[in-house]
Amino acid sequence: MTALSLARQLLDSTRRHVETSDDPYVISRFGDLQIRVDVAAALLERAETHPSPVAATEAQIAAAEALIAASNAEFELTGQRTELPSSLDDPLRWKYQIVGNYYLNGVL
Amino acid sequence: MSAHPQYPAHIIRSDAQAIEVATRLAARFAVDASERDRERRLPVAELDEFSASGLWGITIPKEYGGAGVSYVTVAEVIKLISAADPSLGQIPQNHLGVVDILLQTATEAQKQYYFGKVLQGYRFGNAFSEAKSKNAGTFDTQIRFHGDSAQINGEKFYCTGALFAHIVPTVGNNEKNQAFIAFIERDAQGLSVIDSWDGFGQRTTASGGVTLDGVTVPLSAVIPAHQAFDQPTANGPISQIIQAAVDTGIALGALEQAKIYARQARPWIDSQQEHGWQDPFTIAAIGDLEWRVHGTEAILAKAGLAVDRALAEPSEDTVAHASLVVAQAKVLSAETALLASSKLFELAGTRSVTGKHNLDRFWRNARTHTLHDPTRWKYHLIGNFVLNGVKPARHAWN
Repeated sequence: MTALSLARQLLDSTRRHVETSDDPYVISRFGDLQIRVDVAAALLERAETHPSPVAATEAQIAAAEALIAASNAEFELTGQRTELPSSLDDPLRWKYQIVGNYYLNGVL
Repeated sequence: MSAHPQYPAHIIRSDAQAIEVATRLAARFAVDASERDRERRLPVAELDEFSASGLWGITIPKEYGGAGVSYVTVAEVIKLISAADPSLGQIPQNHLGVVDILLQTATEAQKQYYFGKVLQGYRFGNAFSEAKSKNAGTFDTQIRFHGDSAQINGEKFYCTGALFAHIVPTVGNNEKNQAFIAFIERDAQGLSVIDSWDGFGQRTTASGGVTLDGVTVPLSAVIPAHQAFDQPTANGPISQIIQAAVDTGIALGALEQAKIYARQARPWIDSQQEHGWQDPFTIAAIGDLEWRVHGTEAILAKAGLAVDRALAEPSEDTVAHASLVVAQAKVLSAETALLASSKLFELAGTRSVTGKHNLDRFWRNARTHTLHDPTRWKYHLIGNFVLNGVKPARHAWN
């Protein structure tokens, strides 16, 4: 399962757990998660339709950040935490370097 | 400022042509943008060039002689201009909003007349907001109808563009608290536009005050603007997407400068590098800004498509959807503009705060312009639909 689809799944299961709320802070939390998921999806689409050497990496960063945020919200709002896949083989922290080195220094 | 344009406007025929013209103009506007900001030199000549280029008429539908471009293109045009000079990007904001309110609520004869004016190069300013009313959506300014004319009395503020306009569309409420817009000629008796905007950002927008002292217009110059929100129309999302496009432009402009100055920065002592651009933390920070700016641009384009659909098929659902996607663009653009314009200094180092560079204009502009409507309520608007299925309220800020 990709990070984006897992993020979507966590957002959805957390939403079903909360059901409905009039707490402004809970409500806006879902707004934040929805934006993160949608921006990751939009960057994935961009990587497919307007490929650049680092567009796919940018989409991966957005998806990974969406997943971390969704996982944190799941824990905070439901008290449970779905286990996430290990990212040790493909560390997120170096993806920023790949994108930055391309746009700052023209290096791939 | 006279009530008539200095030059006749060019007519733009297509989306591609609009982008081409905006790209060319943006390059010219970028040259003196810093100087205009520093000296608060109002961009009178630049605006004449901007509206004469035809870009202020691109949203007029084809059947009225315009190009009827997609809102993806409108957002791109405003973004390009704002990356060069966001004051120039902001000034047509209400003009474009008014063109749509005309489309939604004017009579056929009024559409023919005012769309014709816009295609000739007439600029609408705005006298909508009031600094003293209870909130952004309430108006103390009154419009009263007497036979075949209407009279407007009141006091306005945040009147971006009014100082440079040929026609000043002004919102006033009738006895039933319904909002109307009166199209007041710039030289009309009783209309005063005051150059009182002294904000630390968006300094050359002249977003100051307007007073209306018994201004009288014929009924043919009044439209029932409230109808644009009584029924579901694209007008709210149209106003908002232009806001988001301005902020996306500021983010792009700031990121461009961040890269230029970060490349020239000295290496930090602990980095043990020869050059600042080799700093692994600088490189990663640029990577972070890049994906955020590109994500913002991608959502802005999606918002443009959602607005197009709400315009073509207005309904509760299409308008709510457009408001929701535009709200995402608003949140992302505001946050990215603020982040990029602040990170710029961190990555470029102390020398970048030197007054001669005037690099603080990006942050001043981002902070000022993003105050138009707070992102904290956009998170709420989006979450309230996701969690509770509640559609966004319909008004000019959604």
